[in-house]
Amino acid sequence: MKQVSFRSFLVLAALLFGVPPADAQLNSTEVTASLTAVLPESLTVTLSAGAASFSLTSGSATNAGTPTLTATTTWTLAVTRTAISLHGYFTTATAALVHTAAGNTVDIPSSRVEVSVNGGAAAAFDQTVAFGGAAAGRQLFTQAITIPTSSGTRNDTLALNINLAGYTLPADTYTGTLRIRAQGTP
Amino acid sequence: MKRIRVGLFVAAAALLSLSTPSRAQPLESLTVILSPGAVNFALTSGSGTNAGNAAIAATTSWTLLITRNNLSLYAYFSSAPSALVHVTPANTVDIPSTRVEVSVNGGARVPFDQTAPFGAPSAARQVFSQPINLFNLIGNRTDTLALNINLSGYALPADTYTGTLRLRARATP
Repeated sequence: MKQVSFRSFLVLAALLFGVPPADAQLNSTEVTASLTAVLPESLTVTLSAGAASFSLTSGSATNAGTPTLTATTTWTLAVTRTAISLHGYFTTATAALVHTAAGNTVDIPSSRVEVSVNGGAAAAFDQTVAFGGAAAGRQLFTQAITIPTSSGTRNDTLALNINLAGYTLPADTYTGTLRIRAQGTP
Repeated sequence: MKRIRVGLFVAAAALLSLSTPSRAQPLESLTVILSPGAVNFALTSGSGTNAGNAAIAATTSWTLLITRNNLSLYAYFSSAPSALVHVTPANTVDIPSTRVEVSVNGGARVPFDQTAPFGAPSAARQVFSQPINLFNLIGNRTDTLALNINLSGYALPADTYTGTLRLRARATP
């Protein structure tokens, strides 16, 4: 007896029982998953060196600090921000660096501490900025923020100097803390 | 003779299914369910690894006719440039589907950059494709989809971004 092939039988069965044509694809209904991603604002500053030293010469305008500091500012901001700025400052204008010897009452004011940003002209810490004591700060940079620059990073070199020209300072060790902070506005 | 017996069994089963009161119901079924139905991402700017807080389990169940020889599952977005859309009106930047990646069952992460039968061009990814034969006309399988948003080299403003990942299975031909 001639054997009926299985495939032939299936095709016959398909025809008999109304199987859809071969080109009728079967699709499931669409299912969905909601995705929510949150990118928060962030603004950080790091300094490549955490300390600078000065070998002072009495009456000299040039007493450079070593090493030069590098401030790295990194940000991710909302598009509502229009500017970012970096500020260096002391907590008090009259005593940026404070004497160590108990009998000494003279300090180094912030106006005698200067900074050259990225090789620019030296400027004193005599501005009133968003942070720190009045007249004890210096804006180190400000830049506009647009959508393409809403996230980014930049490095700025800060060469410090203590200007003692015309300023009488007793021999002593003077210590202080320069603070750096960035701000996105508004 | 064995071939004929198997064929008769299939035919009898089909006949029984047609003779029941549920005859009006479709002979085939193909469904996909997801769990969970929502995934959150805590993004870090510039990071290549921003994993979703939960992997999605996609369970595909099917009852197919003997004419089918393949079953595939696709995940896709309705737009390639805007898989996840910004929320803040002033923001014009979105997350494209090429930045959304999926690891299926622990495999390598791959972006949604394929063109599939569903969704927008270059906005999809085939999750699986498997042959269908006489022995798996009825079945189900669960696949895990671990999502990731790759922001390496992509500048994105701080914001909340929302989107919808869609999945659909297809049996062919």
